[in-house]
Amino acid sequence: MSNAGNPLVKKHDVDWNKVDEYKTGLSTKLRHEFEVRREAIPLVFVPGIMGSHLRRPGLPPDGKTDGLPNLRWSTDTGWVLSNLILADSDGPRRRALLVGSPRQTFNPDYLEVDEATPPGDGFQGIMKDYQEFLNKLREYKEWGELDKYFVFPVYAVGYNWTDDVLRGGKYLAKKIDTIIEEAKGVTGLCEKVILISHSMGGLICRSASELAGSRSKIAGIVHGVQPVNGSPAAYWRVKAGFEGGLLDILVRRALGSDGTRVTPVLGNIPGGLTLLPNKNYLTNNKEVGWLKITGSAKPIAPLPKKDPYQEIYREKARPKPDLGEAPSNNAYWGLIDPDLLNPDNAVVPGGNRRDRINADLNDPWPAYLRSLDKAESLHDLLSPSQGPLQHPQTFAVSGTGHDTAHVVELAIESNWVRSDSYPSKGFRGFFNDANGDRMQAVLQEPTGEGDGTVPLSSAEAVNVKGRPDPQDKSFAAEHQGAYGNDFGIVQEWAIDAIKTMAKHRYHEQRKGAAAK
Amino acid sequence: MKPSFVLALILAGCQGAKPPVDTNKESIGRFRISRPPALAVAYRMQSIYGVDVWSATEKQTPWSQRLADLGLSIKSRPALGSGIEGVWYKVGEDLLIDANKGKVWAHRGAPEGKEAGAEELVRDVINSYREGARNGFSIGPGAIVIETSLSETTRLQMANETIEVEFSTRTVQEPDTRKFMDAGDERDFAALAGGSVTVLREGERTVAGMTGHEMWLQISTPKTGQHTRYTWHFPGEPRSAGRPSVTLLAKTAAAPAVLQPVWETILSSIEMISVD
Repeated sequence: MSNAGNPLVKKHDVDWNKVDEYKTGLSTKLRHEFEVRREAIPLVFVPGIMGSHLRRPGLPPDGKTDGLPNLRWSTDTGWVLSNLILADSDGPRRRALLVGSPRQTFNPDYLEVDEATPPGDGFQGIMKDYQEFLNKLREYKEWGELDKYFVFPVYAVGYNWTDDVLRGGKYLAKKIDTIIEEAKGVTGLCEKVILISHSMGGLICRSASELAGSRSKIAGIVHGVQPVNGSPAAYWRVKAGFEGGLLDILVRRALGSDGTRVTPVLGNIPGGLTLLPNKNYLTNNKEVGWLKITGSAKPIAPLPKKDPYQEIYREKARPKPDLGEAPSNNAYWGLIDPDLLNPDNAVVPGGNRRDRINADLNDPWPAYLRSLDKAESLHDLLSPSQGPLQHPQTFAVSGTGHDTAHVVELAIESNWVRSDSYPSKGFRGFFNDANGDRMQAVLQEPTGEGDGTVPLSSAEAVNVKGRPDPQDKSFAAEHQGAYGNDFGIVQEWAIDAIKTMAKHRYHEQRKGAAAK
Repeated sequence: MKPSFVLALILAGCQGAKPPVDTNKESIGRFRISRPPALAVAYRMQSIYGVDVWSATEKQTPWSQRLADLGLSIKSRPALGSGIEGVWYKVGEDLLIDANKGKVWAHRGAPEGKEAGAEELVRDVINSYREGARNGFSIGPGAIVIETSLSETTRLQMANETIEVEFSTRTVQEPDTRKFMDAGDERDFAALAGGSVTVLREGERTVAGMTGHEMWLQISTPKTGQHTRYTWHFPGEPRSAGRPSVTLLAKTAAAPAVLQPVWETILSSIEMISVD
C-alpha cells in the first residue's frame, strides 16, 4: 500500500479472487485506488528419463573423479561427443557413470541434478531440446481473458531419473513448494502450479500429486506420451538394445545398442525398471499377456498370466542351455541376464579357489532385486488394480504412427549356426527341444500402434471420456521429440490444456468468492 | 656429455645393481606400455580376484585420515594379520572393506555374512605384493605375484590439455567381439548435430601378437568443432589372464596430426608381462 504519489489517494493491492470481498475501515476522506493483483500459476515442466542432467554431488561439474567426469549425464552435444562414444561407453563404463564402481550398487545419493545455484527457472538441469517448447511457452502472449487474472511463469524441474519414482515424486513435491513460494514472492499471489510432463515425468508428477501430498498445490497436469502402465519396449531394449531413428540416437548412446550394454545400466537403476509393464498393463488388443513365444510345435501361453514381476522380471535369464541339457529348461525370456549386470565384476565359472570365493561374493542379483522391489512398490501404489491414480484435472496426449512394442514376440526356429545371444539391436534365446534339436527364439521387430516407445494402450490409460476441450488426444507424434517443434500440434494442444486448467482455476476461485 | 649426466652415471655405478629407470614406461596388470612424456597419468585402476589394489601416491589419503573420513559408517575392524590394517564400512546398501599395508591399498565389497571370504582375498592380494617385481599383476612400482585370476581388470588414463588416452583390459569368458567404434552410428549422431564423420583408418592390426581392430574417426559438428578418436580393440582369449580383452582409446579436439604420434608410440609399445 502506498500513497506517496498523492496524499489524497490511497492505493491498495487486492488479489483478483478477492475483488468481491467487502473492504471495511476505509477512510472516506481519501480516494482509494485498487490494483488487482494477478495470480501466478507456474507452468512446471518435468522431463522424461535421461532428460535431466546429473552430476556427482559436491564436486565441480567440469572436473573428473575416479577417471570419470563429475558431470555424469548431459545431453549437450559436446558432452556426448566426449563421454558417450561407443568405445568408452560400453556396459561397465555406462554402469560406472550412473551407479558407481563395480563394488558399488545403486545408491540414490550417488547423483543429483546438475542445476544452477540457485536453481532459478531450472532450465540448466534439463535437456536443451525441451527448451524449444519451454521458450515458446514463456513467450506465449495469446492467453486472452486469462491474462487479466493470471501470469504463467515457466519452470523446469529436473530429477535423478536413476532413482525410484516414489522418491522422485517427493523431490518434485518439495520443488513445487519452493516454486510456489518464489512466485508468491514476485507476484504476491501463488497457490498452485500446472505440471507438464514428458514420458517418465508423468509418473513423477502423479507420484508427487497422489503419493507425496501435492495434489492441492497442483491446478492440473498435462501428460505427454506417459507410459502409464509401462511399456514392453523397456523389456525389448534390455534384451536387445535401443533401436530407432535419428531422435533415438542420443538414447541409444546413453543406454546402449545391445543387451550387453543396456543391462548394466537399466538393470541397476530403479528408475529404468519403473518403465517396464506393470501388473495392469494391457496390450493394444486388451490382452494381459504381452510376451509371446511363437512358432512352437506346442502352443505356449503368453506371459504374464498375471504378474510380470514373478513370471518374467524375477526369472533369471539364461540365454543358452548348459552343455548337454536336453531338453533344456533355460528361461531365456527372463528379463535380466545376471552375467550382464556388473560386467567388471562378472562371475566367471570355475577357476582356482580364490576365483570361486570371488564368484561366491559377486552375485549382483540381490542388488537387482532391491531395485526391482522399488519399481514394483511404486507400480502397486500408483497403479492399483482399480486403475491408475491421477490428479482430477488431467489431460493426456499419446503418440501414434510409429511401430511400437505393445507386445514382444520371440519366434522359435531351428538353429544351425548361431551362437551369439546379443547381436547389435537383437536377441536370440537358445534352447534344446524335446527331441534334443538346437532351437533359437529370435526377438522380433516391434509392431503396434504407439509413439515408438509407449504403446497407445499405456499412454491412454489415464484417458477419461467427457473431459473438456482440448480433451485427451492422440497425434502422429514420436516419443522422444513429442513436445518439439516438429510436432507443433502437440505444443498447441498442451497450451489449450493449460488454458482449460487455468479457466477451471478461475471458476474454482470465483465459486469460492460467490459463496462468501 | 653433460657433467650432471656423468655424475648420475657414477652414482648409479656406485649403487651397483639398479638398472636405469625408464620414466616413460607404465606397467599395469599384465602389460607394459610407453607413456609419451607429454602425457601424465590421470587415473589408474587395477583389480584382481575382485580386489581393487593400488600403490599409494603422494595424493593418497593417509590411513588415519581415511578412518576419520569414514567415521560413523565404520562397522568393524577385522584382524587381517601380517601388518595389514582393515576396516569394514557401509555406503548405502553396500558393505565395503578398505585395507592397507605400507604403500599398498586394497578395496572390495561383500554381501553381509560373507565378510570372511572377502577378507581372505584382500589379505592374499596385499600379502602377494612385491615391490619392484617385473612379472606378475603390475600395479605400477611393483606387482601382485599370485596365481592368475579369471577376474582381472585394469584401466589407465593418460592425458594432457588436448589429448586423452585410455588403456583398459578385462579377462573374458568369451572373446569380446562387440564393435567398439561404429562409423554408421557416429555418422547418425553427427548428422543429428549437423555434422559429419570421416573414417581416417579402419582395419586389423597386430600388436604384441594380438590382432585387434583399429579405427580412426574424425567427427566435425558446427557447435563442437572437430573431434578425433582412435581405437584399437583386441577381443581377448577365453579365461586367459595373459591375453585379456584389450582396448586402447585416444581422443582429442585438436587436429589428428597431434594425436597420431602419441597413438603410434603407445600402441606399438604394448608388451605383455609374463604371468609367471
